[in-house]
Amino acid sequence: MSSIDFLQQHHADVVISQHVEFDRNIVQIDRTRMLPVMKALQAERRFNLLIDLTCVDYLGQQKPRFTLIYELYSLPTKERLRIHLKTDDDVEIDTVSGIWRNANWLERELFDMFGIRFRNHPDLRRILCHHEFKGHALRKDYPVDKGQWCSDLEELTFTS
Amino acid sequence: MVATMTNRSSDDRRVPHQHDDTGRPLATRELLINIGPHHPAMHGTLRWFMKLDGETIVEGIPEIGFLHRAFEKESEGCKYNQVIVYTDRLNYLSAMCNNVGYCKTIEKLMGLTITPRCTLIRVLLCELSRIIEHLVTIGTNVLDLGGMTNFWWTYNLREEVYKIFEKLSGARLTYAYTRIGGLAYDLYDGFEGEVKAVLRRVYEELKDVKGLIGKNRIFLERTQGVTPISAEDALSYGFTGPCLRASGVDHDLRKAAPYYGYDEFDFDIPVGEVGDTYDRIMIRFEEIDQSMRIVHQALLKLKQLGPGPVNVDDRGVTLPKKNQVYGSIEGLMNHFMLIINDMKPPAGEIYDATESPNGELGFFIVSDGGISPYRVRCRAPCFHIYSAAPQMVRGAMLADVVATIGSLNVIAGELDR
Repeated sequence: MSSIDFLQQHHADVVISQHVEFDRNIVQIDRTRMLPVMKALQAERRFNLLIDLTCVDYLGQQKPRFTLIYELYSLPTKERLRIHLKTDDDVEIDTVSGIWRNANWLERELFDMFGIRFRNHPDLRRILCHHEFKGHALRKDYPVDKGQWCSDLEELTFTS
Repeated sequence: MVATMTNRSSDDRRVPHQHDDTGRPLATRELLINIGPHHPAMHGTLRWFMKLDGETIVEGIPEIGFLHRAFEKESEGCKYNQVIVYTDRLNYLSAMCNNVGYCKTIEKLMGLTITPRCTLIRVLLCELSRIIEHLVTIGTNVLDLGGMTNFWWTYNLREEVYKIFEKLSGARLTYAYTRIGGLAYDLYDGFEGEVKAVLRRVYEELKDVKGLIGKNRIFLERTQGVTPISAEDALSYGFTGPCLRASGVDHDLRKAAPYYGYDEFDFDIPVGEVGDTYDRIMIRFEEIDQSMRIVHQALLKLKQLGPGPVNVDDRGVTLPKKNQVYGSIEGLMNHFMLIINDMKPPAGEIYDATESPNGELGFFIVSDGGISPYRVRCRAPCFHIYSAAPQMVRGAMLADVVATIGSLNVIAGELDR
Protein backbone atom coordinates (compact mmCIF):
# COMPACT_ATOMS: atom_id res chain seq x y z
CA MET A 1 0.00 0.00 0.00
CA SER A 2 1.39 3.34 -0.94
CA SER A 3 1.35 6.31 1.37
CA ILE A 4 -1.25 7.96 -0.85
CA ASP A 5 -3.61 5.03 -0.29
CA PHE A 6 -2.80 5.14 3.40
CA LEU A 7 -3.74 8.80 3.61
CA GLN A 8 -6.89 8.26 1.55
CA GLN A 9 -7.97 5.39 3.76
CA HIS A 10 -7.18 6.68 7.21
CA HIS A 11 -7.10 10.46 6.85
CA ALA A 12 -9.40 11.08 3.91
CA ASP A 13 -11.05 14.04 5.61
CA VAL A 14 -7.72 15.85 5.93
CA VAL A 15 -6.53 15.34 2.37
CA ILE A 16 -7.59 18.24 0.17
CA SER A 17 -5.97 17.28 -3.11
CA GLN A 18 -3.28 15.08 -4.51
CA HIS A 19 -1.19 15.01 -7.68
CA VAL A 20 2.09 13.75 -9.08
CA GLU A 21 4.78 16.08 -10.37
CA PHE A 22 8.20 14.92 -11.59
CA ASP A 23 7.65 11.42 -10.12
CA ARG A 24 6.86 12.89 -6.72
CA ASN A 25 3.58 12.33 -4.91
CA ILE A 26 2.31 15.64 -3.63
CA VAL A 27 -0.54 15.76 -1.13
CA GLN A 28 -2.19 18.91 0.09
CA ILE A 29 -3.65 18.58 3.55
CA ASP A 30 -5.78 20.68 5.86
CA ARG A 31 -3.54 22.83 8.04
CA THR A 32 -5.79 22.70 11.09
CA ARG A 33 -5.63 18.90 11.34
CA MET A 34 -2.12 18.31 10.07
CA LEU A 35 -0.41 17.19 13.27
CA PRO A 36 -2.02 13.71 13.62
CA VAL A 37 -1.34 13.07 9.93
CA MET A 38 2.33 13.96 10.30
CA LYS A 39 2.58 11.77 13.39
CA ALA A 40 1.00 8.87 11.53
CA LEU A 41 3.31 9.32 8.56
CA GLN A 42 6.32 9.22 10.83
CA ALA A 43 5.16 6.35 13.02
CA GLU A 44 3.15 4.14 10.70
CA ARG A 45 4.63 4.92 7.29
CA ARG A 46 8.16 5.20 8.71
CA PHE A 47 9.00 8.57 7.17
CA ASN A 48 11.91 8.94 9.53
CA LEU A 49 13.70 11.79 7.74
CA LEU A 50 12.29 15.26 7.37
CA ILE A 51 14.46 16.14 4.40
CA ASP A 52 13.33 19.70 4.08
CA LEU A 53 10.71 22.14 5.24
CA THR A 54 10.31 25.24 3.18
CA CYS A 55 7.79 27.74 1.95
CA VAL A 56 6.77 29.52 -1.23
CA ASP A 57 5.13 32.94 -1.23
CA TYR A 58 2.49 33.17 -3.97
CA LEU A 59 1.66 36.80 -3.27
CA GLY A 60 -1.12 38.04 -5.55
CA GLN A 61 -1.42 34.66 -7.27
CA GLN A 62 -3.00 32.42 -4.69
CA LYS A 63 -5.02 32.85 -1.57
CA PRO A 64 -3.91 32.05 1.09
CA ARG A 65 -0.53 33.32 -0.04
CA PHE A 66 1.91 30.84 1.52
CA THR A 67 2.44 27.18 0.71
CA LEU A 68 4.43 25.21 3.25
CA ILE A 69 6.30 22.27 1.79
CA TYR A 70 7.29 19.25 3.85
CA GLU A 71 9.66 16.96 1.99
CA LEU A 72 9.64 13.53 3.63
CA TYR A 73 11.84 10.51 3.07
CA SER A 74 11.51 7.02 4.42
CA LEU A 75 14.78 5.19 4.81
CA PRO A 76 13.27 1.68 5.10
CA THR A 77 10.99 1.99 2.07
CA LYS A 78 13.02 4.59 0.13
CA GLU A 79 9.77 6.44 -0.49
CA ARG A 80 9.58 10.19 -0.90
CA LEU A 81 6.48 12.24 -0.25
CA ARG A 82 5.75 15.94 -0.36
CA ILE A 83 3.11 17.52 1.81
CA HIS A 84 1.61 20.90 0.92
CA LEU A 85 -0.04 23.15 3.45
CA LYS A 86 -1.73 26.43 2.57
CA THR A 87 -1.38 29.15 5.14
CA ASP A 88 -1.63 32.88 5.55
CA ASP A 89 -0.20 35.78 7.48
CA ASP A 90 -2.37 35.64 10.55
CA VAL A 91 -2.58 31.93 11.29
CA GLU A 92 -0.46 29.65 13.38
CA ILE A 93 0.70 26.23 12.22
CA ASP A 94 1.34 23.36 14.59
CA THR A 95 5.02 22.69 15.03
CA VAL A 96 6.39 19.31 13.94
CA SER A 97 9.55 19.74 16.00
CA GLY A 98 8.20 17.09 18.37
CA ILE A 99 8.17 14.58 15.53
CA TRP A 100 11.35 15.46 13.65
CA ARG A 101 13.80 17.44 15.72
CA ASN A 102 15.48 19.23 12.83
CA ALA A 103 12.12 20.96 12.32
CA ASN A 104 13.12 23.17 15.24
CA TRP A 105 15.65 25.12 13.17
CA LEU A 106 13.75 24.74 9.90
CA GLU A 107 10.68 26.34 11.44
CA ARG A 108 12.81 29.09 12.93
CA GLU A 109 14.12 29.77 9.43
CA LEU A 110 10.58 30.00 8.06
CA PHE A 111 9.61 32.34 10.89
CA ASP A 112 12.66 34.44 10.06
CA MET A 113 12.27 34.49 6.29
CA PHE A 114 8.49 34.39 5.84
CA GLY A 115 7.06 35.37 9.21
CA ILE A 116 5.18 32.12 9.64
CA ARG A 117 4.39 31.40 13.28
CA PHE A 118 4.39 27.90 14.70
CA ARG A 119 2.24 26.87 17.64
CA ASN A 120 4.06 25.23 20.58
CA HIS A 121 7.49 25.78 19.05
CA PRO A 122 10.10 25.62 21.84
CA ASP A 123 12.25 28.54 20.69
CA LEU A 124 10.69 30.60 17.93
CA ARG A 125 13.13 33.39 17.09
CA ARG A 126 15.13 34.50 14.09
CA ILE A 127 17.96 32.27 12.98
CA LEU A 128 19.73 33.64 9.88
CA CYS A 129 18.82 37.32 9.89
CA HIS A 130 19.85 39.67 12.67
CA HIS A 131 17.49 39.90 15.62
CA GLU A 132 16.94 43.61 14.95
CA PHE A 133 15.91 42.95 11.36
CA LYS A 134 12.43 44.24 10.46
CA GLY A 135 10.24 42.34 8.03
CA HIS A 136 10.75 39.00 6.38
CA ALA A 137 13.33 38.79 3.64
CA LEU A 138 12.00 36.01 1.44
CA ARG A 139 8.50 37.43 1.16
CA LYS A 140 7.80 38.62 -2.36
CA ASP A 141 6.93 42.11 -1.12
CA TYR A 142 10.33 42.57 0.52
CA PRO A 143 12.58 44.44 -1.95
CA VAL A 144 15.79 42.57 -2.68
CA ASP A 145 17.89 45.73 -2.41
CA LYS A 146 16.48 46.98 0.89
CA GLY A 147 19.26 47.02 3.44
CA GLN A 148 18.93 47.48 7.20
CA TRP A 149 21.46 48.60 9.75
CA CYS A 150 21.62 46.07 12.59
CA SER A 151 24.45 46.21 15.07
CA ASP A 152 23.63 44.94 18.56
CA LEU A 153 24.86 41.50 19.56
CA GLU A 154 22.01 39.17 20.40
CA GLU A 155 21.45 38.38 24.06
CA LEU A 156 21.24 34.62 24.22
CA THR A 157 19.33 33.16 27.13
CA PHE A 158 19.76 29.72 28.59
CA THR A 159 16.82 27.45 29.20
CA SER A 160 18.35 25.66 32.20
CA MET B 1 41.90 32.69 23.25
CA VAL B 2 38.41 32.71 24.64
CA ALA B 3 36.63 35.92 25.35
CA THR B 4 34.43 36.00 28.42
CA MET B 5 31.18 37.84 28.18
CA THR B 6 30.04 40.18 30.87
CA ASN B 7 28.74 37.89 33.53
CA ARG B 8 25.25 39.11 33.60
CA SER B 9 23.66 37.21 36.41
CA SER B 10 26.22 34.67 37.44
CA ASP B 11 26.50 35.96 41.01
CA ASP B 12 23.24 34.40 42.01
CA ARG B 13 24.17 31.12 40.40
CA ARG B 14 26.55 29.86 43.06
CA VAL B 15 26.37 26.09 43.12
CA PRO B 16 28.34 24.25 45.81
CA HIS B 17 29.43 20.94 44.37
CA GLN B 18 33.10 20.45 45.30
CA HIS B 19 34.76 20.19 48.66
CA ASP B 20 38.01 21.54 50.06
CA ASP B 21 40.53 19.56 52.15
CA THR B 22 38.45 19.83 55.29
CA GLY B 23 35.28 18.65 53.58
CA ARG B 24 33.59 22.00 53.47
CA PRO B 25 31.79 22.71 50.21
CA LEU B 26 33.61 25.07 47.90
CA ALA B 27 31.50 27.88 46.64
CA THR B 28 31.75 27.61 42.86
CA ARG B 29 29.69 29.29 40.25
CA GLU B 30 28.69 28.64 36.70
CA LEU B 31 30.74 30.45 34.15
CA LEU B 32 29.19 32.00 31.09
CA ILE B 33 31.53 32.06 28.17
CA ASN B 34 31.30 33.30 24.60
CA ILE B 35 33.29 31.75 21.76
CA GLY B 36 33.34 33.20 18.30
CA PRO B 37 32.24 34.28 15.79
CA HIS B 38 35.85 35.25 15.09
CA HIS B 39 37.57 32.48 16.94
CA PRO B 40 40.00 30.28 14.95
CA ALA B 41 38.34 27.09 16.13
CA MET B 42 34.91 28.32 15.10
CA HIS B 43 35.77 27.95 11.41
CA GLY B 44 35.04 31.50 10.52
CA THR B 45 31.60 32.55 11.54
CA LEU B 46 30.08 30.38 14.22
CA ARG B 47 29.24 31.69 17.66
CA TRP B 48 28.58 29.75 20.83
CA PHE B 49 27.42 31.03 24.15
CA MET B 50 28.05 28.50 26.84
CA LYS B 51 27.27 27.86 30.45
CA LEU B 52 30.09 25.95 32.10
CA ASP B 53 30.40 24.08 35.33
CA GLY B 54 34.14 23.75 35.62
CA GLU B 55 35.05 22.54 32.17
CA THR B 56 31.79 20.71 31.62
CA ILE B 57 29.17 22.24 29.43
CA VAL B 58 25.84 22.65 31.14
CA GLU B 59 24.25 24.21 28.13
CA GLY B 60 25.47 25.66 24.87
CA ILE B 61 23.58 27.84 22.45
CA PRO B 62 24.91 28.31 18.93
CA GLU B 63 24.15 31.42 16.96
CA ILE B 64 24.37 31.24 13.19
CA GLY B 65 23.67 33.55 10.29
CA PHE B 66 26.88 35.58 10.29
CA LEU B 67 27.59 34.50 6.71
CA HIS B 68 24.04 34.89 5.44
CA ARG B 69 24.23 36.33 1.92
CA ALA B 70 20.62 35.78 0.85
CA PHE B 71 21.38 33.12 -1.74
CA GLU B 72 17.73 32.20 -2.09
CA LYS B 73 16.50 35.79 -2.40
CA GLU B 74 19.21 36.84 -4.86
CA SER B 75 18.54 33.79 -7.03
CA GLU B 76 14.96 34.88 -7.58
CA GLY B 77 16.24 37.84 -9.54
CA CYS B 78 18.74 35.88 -11.64
CA LYS B 79 18.46 33.88 -14.78
CA TYR B 80 18.86 30.15 -14.42
CA ASN B 81 22.46 30.00 -15.60
CA GLN B 82 23.45 32.95 -13.41
CA VAL B 83 22.52 31.09 -10.25
CA ILE B 84 25.38 28.63 -10.87
CA VAL B 85 27.84 31.29 -9.78
CA TYR B 86 26.03 31.65 -6.45
CA THR B 87 26.03 27.90 -5.86
CA ASP B 88 29.84 28.01 -5.84
CA ARG B 89 29.64 30.01 -2.65
CA LEU B 90 27.45 27.54 -0.76
CA ASN B 91 29.81 24.78 0.21
CA TYR B 92 33.05 26.33 -0.96
CA LEU B 93 35.08 23.22 -0.18
CA SER B 94 33.36 21.28 -2.93
CA ALA B 95 31.92 23.88 -5.26
CA MET B 96 31.82 21.37 -8.12
CA CYS B 97 29.23 19.29 -6.29
CA ASN B 98 27.03 22.34 -5.81
CA ASN B 99 27.32 23.24 -9.50
CA VAL B 100 26.36 19.71 -10.46
CA GLY B 101 23.53 19.49 -7.92
CA TYR B 102 21.92 22.69 -9.11
CA CYS B 103 22.32 21.95 -12.82
CA LYS B 104 20.97 18.44 -12.38
CA THR B 105 17.80 19.85 -10.82
CA ILE B 106 17.22 22.36 -13.61
CA GLU B 107 17.96 19.73 -16.25
CA LYS B 108 15.36 17.46 -14.70
CA LEU B 109 12.91 20.35 -14.62
CA MET B 110 13.52 20.97 -18.34
CA GLY B 111 13.59 17.30 -19.26
CA LEU B 112 17.13 17.46 -20.64
CA THR B 113 19.34 14.40 -20.90
CA ILE B 114 23.01 15.28 -20.71
CA THR B 115 25.57 13.53 -22.88
CA PRO B 116 27.36 10.40 -21.61
CA ARG B 117 30.70 12.20 -21.66
CA CYS B 118 29.33 15.06 -19.58
CA THR B 119 27.85 12.57 -17.10
CA LEU B 120 31.19 10.85 -16.62
CA ILE B 121 33.10 14.11 -16.26
CA ARG B 122 30.60 15.31 -13.65
CA VAL B 123 30.94 12.08 -11.69
CA LEU B 124 34.71 12.33 -11.87
CA LEU B 125 34.83 15.93 -10.72
CA CYS B 126 32.32 15.32 -7.93
CA GLU B 127 34.43 12.49 -6.58
CA LEU B 128 37.60 14.57 -6.79
CA SER B 129 35.72 17.26 -4.86
CA ARG B 130 34.68 14.71 -2.28
CA ILE B 131 38.32 13.75 -1.84
CA ILE B 132 39.49 17.32 -1.29
CA GLU B 133 36.59 18.21 0.97
CA HIS B 134 37.30 15.21 3.18
CA LEU B 135 41.01 16.07 3.17
CA VAL B 136 40.21 19.55 4.41
CA THR B 137 37.76 18.26 6.99
CA ILE B 138 40.29 15.83 8.37
CA GLY B 139 43.12 18.35 8.24
CA THR B 140 41.29 21.17 10.00
CA ASN B 141 39.68 18.81 12.50
CA VAL B 142 43.02 17.43 13.57
CA LEU B 143 44.47 20.93 13.53
CA ASP B 144 41.79 21.99 15.98
CA LEU B 145 42.96 19.17 18.20
CA GLY B 146 46.55 20.41 18.00
CA GLY B 147 47.96 18.33 15.15
CA MET B 148 49.50 20.85 12.81
CA THR B 149 51.46 18.53 10.52
CA ASN B 150 48.37 16.79 9.21
CA PHE B 151 46.95 20.11 8.23
CA TRP B 152 49.92 20.90 5.98
CA TRP B 153 49.95 17.43 4.50
CA THR B 154 46.27 17.32 3.62
CA TYR B 155 46.33 20.88 2.34
CA ASN B 156 49.27 20.05 0.10
CA LEU B 157 47.25 17.26 -1.44
CA ARG B 158 44.28 19.52 -1.88
CA GLU B 159 46.53 22.01 -3.63
CA GLU B 160 47.34 19.39 -6.26
CA VAL B 161 43.66 18.88 -7.03
CA TYR B 162 43.16 22.64 -7.04
CA LYS B 163 45.79 22.93 -9.74
CA ILE B 164 43.80 20.56 -11.91
CA PHE B 165 40.55 22.41 -11.25
CA GLU B 166 42.23 25.73 -11.95
CA LYS B 167 43.52 24.48 -15.27
CA LEU B 168 40.06 23.17 -16.05
CA SER B 169 37.88 26.08 -15.06
CA GLY B 170 40.17 29.06 -14.53
CA ALA B 171 39.36 29.37 -10.84
CA ARG B 172 40.74 27.72 -7.75
CA LEU B 173 37.74 27.79 -5.48
CA THR B 174 34.66 29.05 -7.29
CA TYR B 175 34.61 27.14 -10.54
CA ALA B 176 31.16 27.73 -12.07
CA TYR B 177 32.23 24.93 -14.35
CA THR B 178 28.91 23.35 -15.19
CA ARG B 179 26.27 24.84 -17.41
CA ILE B 180 22.66 23.82 -17.64
CA GLY B 181 22.78 21.03 -20.19
CA GLY B 182 26.51 20.44 -19.96
CA LEU B 183 29.82 21.98 -19.01
CA ALA B 184 31.64 25.21 -19.67
CA TYR B 185 34.52 23.42 -21.40
CA ASP B 186 35.67 19.92 -22.17
CA LEU B 187 38.66 18.43 -20.36
CA TYR B 188 42.11 19.59 -21.36
CA ASP B 189 44.85 17.42 -22.86
CA GLY B 190 46.80 15.51 -20.27
CA PHE B 191 43.98 15.62 -17.71
CA GLU B 192 43.98 11.88 -17.19
CA GLY B 193 47.68 11.68 -16.45
CA GLU B 194 47.54 14.52 -13.95
CA VAL B 195 44.58 13.05 -12.11
CA LYS B 196 46.28 9.69 -11.89
CA ALA B 197 49.44 11.31 -10.53
CA VAL B 198 47.40 13.14 -7.90
CA LEU B 199 45.57 9.99 -6.89
CA ARG B 200 48.88 8.19 -6.49
CA ARG B 201 50.06 10.98 -4.19
CA VAL B 202 46.81 10.94 -2.20
CA TYR B 203 47.09 7.19 -1.80
CA GLU B 204 50.69 7.33 -0.64
CA GLU B 205 50.51 10.40 1.57
CA LEU B 206 47.27 9.47 3.28
CA LYS B 207 49.18 6.56 4.76
CA ASP B 208 51.42 9.10 6.46
CA VAL B 209 48.45 11.11 7.66
CA LYS B 210 46.85 7.99 9.10
CA GLY B 211 50.18 6.97 10.57
CA LEU B 212 50.34 10.20 12.56
CA ILE B 213 46.94 9.86 14.15
CA GLY B 214 46.00 6.18 13.95
CA LYS B 215 47.72 5.21 17.20
CA ASN B 216 48.21 8.68 18.59
CA ARG B 217 46.96 8.57 22.16
CA ILE B 218 46.13 12.26 22.35
CA PHE B 219 44.09 12.02 19.19
CA LEU B 220 42.30 8.86 20.29
CA GLU B 221 41.43 10.21 23.72
CA ARG B 222 40.23 13.49 22.30
CA THR B 223 37.93 11.78 19.77
CA GLN B 224 36.87 8.30 20.89
CA GLY B 225 33.59 8.33 22.74
CA VAL B 226 33.38 12.09 22.38
CA THR B 227 29.92 13.49 21.59
CA PRO B 228 28.41 10.33 20.12
CA ILE B 229 25.00 10.47 18.50
CA SER B 230 22.79 7.42 18.10
CA ALA B 231 21.35 6.41 14.75
CA GLU B 232 17.85 7.21 15.96
CA ASP B 233 18.79 10.71 17.08
CA ALA B 234 20.79 11.31 13.94
CA LEU B 235 17.80 10.47 11.78
CA SER B 236 15.52 12.60 13.88
CA TYR B 237 17.82 15.55 13.30
CA GLY B 238 17.86 14.92 9.55
CA PHE B 239 21.48 13.81 9.35
CA THR B 240 22.70 12.68 5.95
CA GLY B 241 26.10 11.90 4.52
CA PRO B 242 29.19 10.80 6.47
CA CYS B 243 27.81 11.96 9.82
CA LEU B 244 24.77 9.71 9.44
CA ARG B 245 26.84 6.80 8.20
CA ALA B 246 29.22 7.21 11.14
CA SER B 247 26.23 6.45 13.38
CA GLY B 248 25.76 3.16 11.60
CA VAL B 249 23.05 3.97 9.07
CA ASP B 250 23.83 2.63 5.64
CA HIS B 251 22.36 5.41 3.54
CA ASP B 252 23.95 7.00 0.52
CA LEU B 253 22.00 8.52 -2.35
CA ARG B 254 24.55 7.13 -4.79
CA LYS B 255 23.28 3.67 -3.81
CA ALA B 256 19.76 4.42 -2.59
CA ALA B 257 18.71 6.41 -5.66
CA PRO B 258 21.54 6.09 -8.17
CA TYR B 259 21.96 8.99 -10.55
CA TYR B 260 24.55 9.58 -13.28
CA GLY B 261 25.13 5.84 -13.59
CA TYR B 262 26.55 5.44 -10.10
CA ASP B 263 25.03 1.95 -10.05
CA GLU B 264 27.53 0.93 -12.74
CA PHE B 265 30.48 1.86 -10.58
CA ASP B 266 32.02 -0.56 -8.16
CA PHE B 267 32.35 1.04 -4.73
CA ASP B 268 31.32 0.47 -1.13
CA ILE B 269 29.61 2.59 1.48
CA PRO B 270 31.65 2.66 4.69
CA VAL B 271 29.57 2.66 7.86
CA GLY B 272 30.61 3.54 11.40
CA GLU B 273 29.51 1.93 14.63
CA VAL B 274 29.46 4.38 17.52
CA GLY B 275 28.79 7.70 15.83
CA ASP B 276 31.38 9.55 17.89
CA THR B 277 33.90 12.09 16.69
CA TYR B 278 36.42 9.36 15.93
CA ASP B 279 33.98 7.54 13.63
CA ARG B 280 33.08 10.75 11.86
CA ILE B 281 36.75 11.42 11.09
CA MET B 282 37.65 7.86 10.16
CA ILE B 283 34.70 7.39 7.87
CA ARG B 284 36.05 10.22 5.78
CA PHE B 285 39.33 8.39 5.29
CA GLU B 286 37.36 5.40 4.02
CA GLU B 287 35.27 7.54 1.72
CA ILE B 288 38.40 9.02 0.17
CA ASP B 289 39.49 5.48 -0.71
CA GLN B 290 36.12 4.71 -2.25
CA SER B 291 36.09 7.97 -4.21
CA MET B 292 39.52 7.15 -5.60
CA ARG B 293 38.11 3.85 -6.85
CA ILE B 294 35.29 5.69 -8.59
CA VAL B 295 37.66 8.22 -10.17
CA HIS B 296 39.82 5.42 -11.59
CA GLN B 297 36.78 3.72 -13.04
CA ALA B 298 35.46 6.98 -14.46
CA LEU B 299 38.79 7.68 -16.14
CA LEU B 300 38.70 4.24 -17.72
CA LYS B 301 35.11 4.72 -18.88
CA LEU B 302 35.98 8.11 -20.33
CA LYS B 303 38.80 6.53 -22.30
CA GLN B 304 36.53 3.80 -23.60
CA LEU B 305 33.86 6.34 -24.52
CA GLY B 306 36.24 8.50 -26.50
CA PRO B 307 35.74 12.15 -27.44
CA GLY B 308 32.26 13.49 -27.86
CA PRO B 309 30.04 16.48 -27.14
CA VAL B 310 29.73 17.67 -23.54
CA ASN B 311 26.73 19.91 -24.10
CA VAL B 312 23.23 18.94 -25.13
CA ASP B 313 22.41 19.68 -28.75
CA ASP B 314 19.59 22.11 -28.02
CA ARG B 315 19.76 25.66 -29.33
CA GLY B 316 17.39 26.83 -26.63
CA VAL B 317 19.80 25.75 -23.91
CA THR B 318 23.40 25.64 -25.12
CA LEU B 319 25.26 28.67 -26.37
CA PRO B 320 26.53 28.24 -29.96
CA LYS B 321 30.27 27.89 -30.57
CA LYS B 322 32.22 31.11 -30.93
CA ASN B 323 33.06 30.56 -34.61
CA GLN B 324 29.35 30.29 -35.34
CA VAL B 325 28.63 33.44 -33.32
CA TYR B 326 31.22 35.48 -35.19
CA GLY B 327 30.82 33.74 -38.53
CA SER B 328 27.10 33.44 -39.12
CA ILE B 329 24.04 35.59 -38.51
CA GLU B 330 22.09 32.58 -37.16
CA GLY B 331 24.79 31.88 -34.59
CA LEU B 332 24.93 35.53 -33.55
CA MET B 333 21.15 35.74 -33.14
CA ASN B 334 21.10 32.47 -31.26
CA HIS B 335 23.75 33.73 -28.85
CA PHE B 336 22.00 37.08 -28.43
CA MET B 337 18.57 35.60 -27.81
CA LEU B 338 19.88 33.07 -25.35
CA ILE B 339 21.72 35.72 -23.36
CA ILE B 340 18.86 38.23 -23.37
CA ASN B 341 15.85 35.95 -23.10
CA ASP B 342 17.54 32.93 -21.58
CA MET B 343 15.98 29.54 -21.22
CA LYS B 344 12.46 29.19 -19.89
CA PRO B 345 11.83 25.93 -18.07
CA PRO B 346 8.19 24.86 -17.87
CA ALA B 347 6.20 25.93 -14.82
CA GLY B 348 6.30 23.50 -11.95
CA GLU B 349 8.04 22.62 -8.75
CA ILE B 350 10.82 20.13 -8.35
CA TYR B 351 13.08 18.81 -5.65
CA ASP B 352 16.17 16.93 -6.66
CA ALA B 353 19.13 15.86 -4.58
CA THR B 354 22.67 14.63 -4.98
CA GLU B 355 25.03 13.09 -2.48
CA SER B 356 27.45 15.89 -1.74
CA PRO B 357 30.48 15.23 0.50
CA ASN B 358 28.49 16.60 3.42
CA GLY B 359 25.25 14.75 2.82
CA GLU B 360 22.12 15.20 0.80
CA LEU B 361 22.40 18.45 -1.10
CA GLY B 362 18.98 19.24 -2.50
CA PHE B 363 17.59 22.03 -4.59
CA PHE B 364 13.92 22.86 -4.56
CA ILE B 365 12.99 25.00 -7.53
CA VAL B 366 9.65 26.57 -8.36
CA SER B 367 9.39 27.82 -11.91
CA ASP B 368 6.59 30.03 -13.18
CA GLY B 369 7.67 29.59 -16.78
CA GLY B 370 9.69 32.80 -16.84
CA ILE B 371 13.40 33.45 -17.27
CA SER B 372 14.07 33.62 -13.50
CA PRO B 373 13.22 30.95 -10.96
CA TYR B 374 10.23 31.89 -8.81
CA ARG B 375 11.77 30.27 -5.78
CA VAL B 376 15.12 28.60 -5.20
CA ARG B 377 15.62 26.66 -2.03
CA CYS B 378 18.85 24.95 -1.11
CA ARG B 379 18.62 22.01 1.27
CA ALA B 380 21.97 22.35 2.97
CA PRO B 381 23.04 19.16 4.75
CA CYS B 382 25.02 20.82 7.52
CA PHE B 383 22.13 23.07 8.56
CA HIS B 384 20.32 19.98 9.79
CA ILE B 385 23.46 18.41 11.22
CA TYR B 386 24.47 21.51 13.15
CA SER B 387 21.03 21.76 14.74
CA ALA B 388 21.91 18.64 16.73
CA ALA B 389 25.09 20.21 18.12
CA PRO B 390 23.49 21.77 21.24
CA GLN B 391 22.25 18.35 22.30
CA MET B 392 25.52 16.64 21.43
CA VAL B 393 27.80 18.93 23.41
CA ARG B 394 25.67 18.96 26.56
CA GLY B 395 27.73 17.30 29.29
CA ALA B 396 30.89 17.29 27.21
CA MET B 397 34.01 19.32 27.90
CA LEU B 398 34.59 22.74 26.42
CA ALA B 399 37.42 21.45 24.23
CA ASP B 400 35.12 18.73 22.86
CA VAL B 401 33.01 21.38 21.19
CA VAL B 402 35.92 22.23 18.95
CA ALA B 403 36.51 18.59 18.06
CA THR B 404 32.80 18.07 17.43
CA ILE B 405 32.24 21.06 15.17
CA GLY B 406 35.22 20.03 13.09
CA SER B 407 33.99 16.48 12.69
CA LEU B 408 30.48 17.58 11.78
CA ASN B 409 32.09 19.61 9.00
CA VAL B 410 29.97 22.70 9.43
CA ILE B 411 30.55 24.90 6.39
CA ALA B 412 29.30 28.38 7.14
CA GLY B 413 28.69 29.18 3.47
CA GLU B 414 26.23 26.34 3.25
CA LEU B 415 24.86 26.70 6.76
CA ASP B 416 23.90 30.35 6.39
CA ARG B 417 23.47 30.50 2.61
